[in-house]
Amino acid sequence: MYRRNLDIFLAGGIALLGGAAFVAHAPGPVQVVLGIALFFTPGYLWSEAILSMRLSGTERILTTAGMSLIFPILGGFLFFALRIPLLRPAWVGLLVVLTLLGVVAAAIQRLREVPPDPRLDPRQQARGRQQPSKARFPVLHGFIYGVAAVIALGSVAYSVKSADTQKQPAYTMLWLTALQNDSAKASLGVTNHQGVTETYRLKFLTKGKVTTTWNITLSDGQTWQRTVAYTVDYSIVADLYLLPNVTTPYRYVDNGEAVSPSASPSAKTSK
Amino acid sequence: MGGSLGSRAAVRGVSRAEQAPEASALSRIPVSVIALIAAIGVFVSSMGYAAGRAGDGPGSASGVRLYWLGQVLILLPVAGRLLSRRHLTQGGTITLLVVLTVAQYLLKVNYSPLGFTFNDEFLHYRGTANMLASGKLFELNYGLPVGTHYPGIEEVTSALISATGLSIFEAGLIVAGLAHLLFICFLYLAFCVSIRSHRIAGIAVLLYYGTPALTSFNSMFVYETLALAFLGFCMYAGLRSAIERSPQDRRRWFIIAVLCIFATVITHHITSYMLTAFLVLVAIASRLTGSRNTAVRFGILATIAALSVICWIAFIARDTISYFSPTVDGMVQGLNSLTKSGSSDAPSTSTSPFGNTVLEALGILVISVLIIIGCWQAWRRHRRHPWIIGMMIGSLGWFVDLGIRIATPDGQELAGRAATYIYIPVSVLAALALTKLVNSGPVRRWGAAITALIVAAVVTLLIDGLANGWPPFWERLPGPHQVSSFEASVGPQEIATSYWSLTYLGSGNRIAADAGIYPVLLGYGDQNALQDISFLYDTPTWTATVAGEASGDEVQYVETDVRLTKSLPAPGNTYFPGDTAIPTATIPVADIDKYNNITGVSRVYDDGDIVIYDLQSLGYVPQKP
Repeated sequence: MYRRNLDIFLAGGIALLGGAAFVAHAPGPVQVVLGIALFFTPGYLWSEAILSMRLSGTERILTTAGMSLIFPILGGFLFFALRIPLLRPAWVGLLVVLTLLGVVAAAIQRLREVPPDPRLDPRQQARGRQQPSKARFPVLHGFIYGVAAVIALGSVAYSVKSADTQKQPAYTMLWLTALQNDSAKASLGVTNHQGVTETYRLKFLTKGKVTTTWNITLSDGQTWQRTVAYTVDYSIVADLYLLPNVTTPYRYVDNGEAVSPSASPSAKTSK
Repeated sequence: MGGSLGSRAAVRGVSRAEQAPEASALSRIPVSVIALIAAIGVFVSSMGYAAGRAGDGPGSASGVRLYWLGQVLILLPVAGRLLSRRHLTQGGTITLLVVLTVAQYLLKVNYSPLGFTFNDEFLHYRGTANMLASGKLFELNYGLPVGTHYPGIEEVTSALISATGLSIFEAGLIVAGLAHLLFICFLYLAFCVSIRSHRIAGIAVLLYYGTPALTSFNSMFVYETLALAFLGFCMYAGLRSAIERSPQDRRRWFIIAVLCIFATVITHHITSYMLTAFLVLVAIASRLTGSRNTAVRFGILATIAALSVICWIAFIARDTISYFSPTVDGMVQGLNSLTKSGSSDAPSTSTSPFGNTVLEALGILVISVLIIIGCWQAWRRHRRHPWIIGMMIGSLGWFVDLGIRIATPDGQELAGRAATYIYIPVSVLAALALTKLVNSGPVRRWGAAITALIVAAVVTLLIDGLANGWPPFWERLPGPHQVSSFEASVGPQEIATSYWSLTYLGSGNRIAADAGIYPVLLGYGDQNALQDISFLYDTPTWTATVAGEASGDEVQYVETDVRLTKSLPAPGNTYFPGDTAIPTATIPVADIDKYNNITGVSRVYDDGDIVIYDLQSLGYVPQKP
């Protein structure tokens, strides 16, 4: 009796552990493993509860996975109808509750069900007939499947490395944009994606005159950012130079207002 | 039935055809070794991808050769083993199909292993991100307004992310991969139950791999991928609910079928309609063949599906009708002109190389012939079989699909998408025809030579599906940036710009952009990127007409990319979303540089290639809530 229902106990335990891992902010790999188990447990239990007849291993795996995908959809819709926000705790709660209900449903189902007579089960008989041939090369085949899996997963790792090291054009992002909550201020920023550490000179010009100059050294992927005063009443321009070139702006941004000619190499001169 | 699929085969034993000896070398290879060869094939194709990244993308001849060599290593042993007459267990058959599916899915993952690049995936990335942030089901998704009302895949992914802490990309890969594998496996099980031969069922699923969209659109992180898994599950559960001996077991499978219907309706519009059509088809075929019990079962399921679809559209997804209206109108007009005048007014959008076109034509011819032979087989030998007669009727959709392909605007893509569903009955009929052919007297006399020829023909069909599917020839391998060319345009600059736009401009801005960055702005940027905005890039000066149109379209930002002035998009593509005319010349520099000289238009972002201008002072300024 205990052994027959061991899967139900295990499933219930996994669900509780998965829920606990979420609450306790368990380390990444632990949460991934327990989370995946929690995700699939309701499907397993409810496929046991609904399709209590003995399914083959393949069918059991497939119905479990299929129902695991169905439950979040129907459960999420139910939560929506009940006006429960579908935030992370709600999803985890849904999976835990579905699992615990599944434990009860599967247990009740098994209590009501008469244990099958293996002598009358054609699948069992077929299994019995096939046993000698099945057991012929299990280790060798297992090893070959293992090697295949390693090669397949290796191809993913290889592709990740290949994509990671793909040569991409070097670029630097420069921006000047009014803050969303305060139009009198703007975010001025630079991000280096040149692939190497670079030194920049950023000249900030108001009404065509340089008011501030910053010398910035940024490693690849690093961002420099300041909040500056902003208006559209007069011209604001930011010219970025990639050293050692300090004559031609490498990038520039502005607020769209024109200034007199020659004030800045990049400023608008026509209206 | 005894509750298990395996039991029927076990009771009646394997058929004569399944035991027939054969001299083919492929038939002697154990399934585990085939899995190993397929894994090597995946690695070899991935080496092709790497060669593309390191060199000239799809222009890398060695990369393309490696890619196709890998594909042959995957397809040939699987096809050879499934088509051979040597005995193959049900477990062996399903293992081969799983190997094939996983191998193809891994190739899809290896194409862009660092993040989403397939355009439709960005839309569901945004849907999932919105759901996780807001906790609401029907959050506005600028890129896919209709998808807002079909949140199934976002719900499943959100649940998985919440439980595991994985990123959207990682969880999306798991959900899409699992759903795709389930679809194939349930399709196989449904074929097994209905055809009552795991060998023919295996061949049918193998032939189904000729569907052009199967390894691309149907395995991406998109709502159709998930809905197809439910469609397959529902088909299987529906069939089991009709054939189980015990009323209790029939009821149990019926409950599962109903759950699958609800999940499909919530997840994807077209798949839910196709599921309804499938259930109706089997109900009608059952009635015609005198299988009253099956007709009643499927009739009830079809009614539940139809009512669910109607209720969902009426109460939740009203915009579905307006979403499909233009497509349906185009199809009807095209088919009308085809039937009246014998030719279509639809512009030809095919730009495939000659080899692909020849493959496609051959594929159409072979499938058409197989359908005809299969129909004859079905009528001659399975006239009382509701499922097979249903599939026979359904397979006639193949010829409608051909009409759509020829007659409607963008018919190539529509037909490719429709093929996902139409190939289900087609593959059953084709498998019947192929099995008859393999088992026929003359073929048995010629033995391995003819079998090899049939295997080669089937592999060619599968390669046709891949060659004419997605990614197309001009981005067969990942590689350098191409302008306005779907995945080939998704690079670090587009991704960084899109994230920047969300951080510094906020979400939902109406932004005009080229077709390359458009889906990334929708997905990662959560911007309301606009269609039909090429007028903003057509003139060297900012005229009153352009200003009026921009104001009318409520354009807030304009994105320009200097690379548009240097190269044309890949064949068949346009510079801007919504355009229909294929460009023949690059965009003049003055047409995008004009924004530097308009007073009031601020240049808010510059990365050297991509520049974003703020047009809000000129006209439309959104009202903040």
